[in-house]
Amino acid sequence: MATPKRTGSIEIEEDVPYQRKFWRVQRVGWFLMGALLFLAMLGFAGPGIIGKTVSSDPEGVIKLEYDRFIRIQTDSDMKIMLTPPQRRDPFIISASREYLDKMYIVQVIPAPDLTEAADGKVLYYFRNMKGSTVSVSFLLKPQAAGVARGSFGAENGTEVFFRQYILP
Amino acid sequence: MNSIARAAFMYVFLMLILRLSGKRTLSEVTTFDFILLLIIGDSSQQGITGDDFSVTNAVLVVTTLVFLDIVFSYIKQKYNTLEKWIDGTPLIILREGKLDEELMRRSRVDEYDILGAARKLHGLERLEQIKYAILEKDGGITIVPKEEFR
Repeated sequence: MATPKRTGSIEIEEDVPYQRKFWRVQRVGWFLMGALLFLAMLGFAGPGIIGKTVSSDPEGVIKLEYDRFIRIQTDSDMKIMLTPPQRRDPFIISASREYLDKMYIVQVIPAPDLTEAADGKVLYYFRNMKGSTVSVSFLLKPQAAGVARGSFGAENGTEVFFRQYILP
Repeated sequence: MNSIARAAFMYVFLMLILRLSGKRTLSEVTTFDFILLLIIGDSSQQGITGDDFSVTNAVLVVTTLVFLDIVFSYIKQKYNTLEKWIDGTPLIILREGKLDEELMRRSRVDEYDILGAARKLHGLERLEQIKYAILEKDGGITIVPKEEFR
């Protein structure tokens, strides 16, 4: 055990050089706190300007709108816009099993008429959809932190691959 | 496993962020500081427990926090340098009636804080009656009055 130093008439473990060093570290810590908040506001810690992402295939058949950075156990929205070359009924959207295994599906809007498991995919059938573009939203709740890779596709085999980072 | 890791992470994170906030931040708890503490507690609790409200989870979380506290107290006792970084050291901000303005400014303490502590602890009226004013590790101010004012 260290013996306390004597400063004047008082025994005290004062250490001014250490304290000056600590204040420098503290300033860096404050800067990092500010930087973290700034990045969070931009979308690096969840929904925000930078994190908002749109991916689509070259022909524009499928367009995905999602947040690149999402949080575990927090609802997140994945919007799929499907514009097939020919009008079909039902519209079919396929989702990769690899991605869905990491998510709890809270809701699909509109609700699909039929869901079918295929090889490494889940197929969602939507009947009586109006217009040439179908918009479907998946409300998802990530179940594990890490990288979630996956794809959504159309009936003609067109697929859009994407990657999301799930923060703990 | 998950709740233990979450609790351990939050323990270290809170230790770090409260340390970086400086000694004075939570030393004198005002009404606002009290609300701040409540919000910090509530936000941390949600991060630690998530949506698992089971007794098992609560037992694991509390045990993790208390165990880490014991471990850290042993480590601090063994390694003096680490203790300094985690707990800080006291600072003499007034010697023989003379203020150390640089230390005070950097520690976010002013003469009114010293006078307040002097009044509260010893009923002193002026700075010149103080021999030492020490900013303690916990952010509180200790006053040592001059001999004639004891």
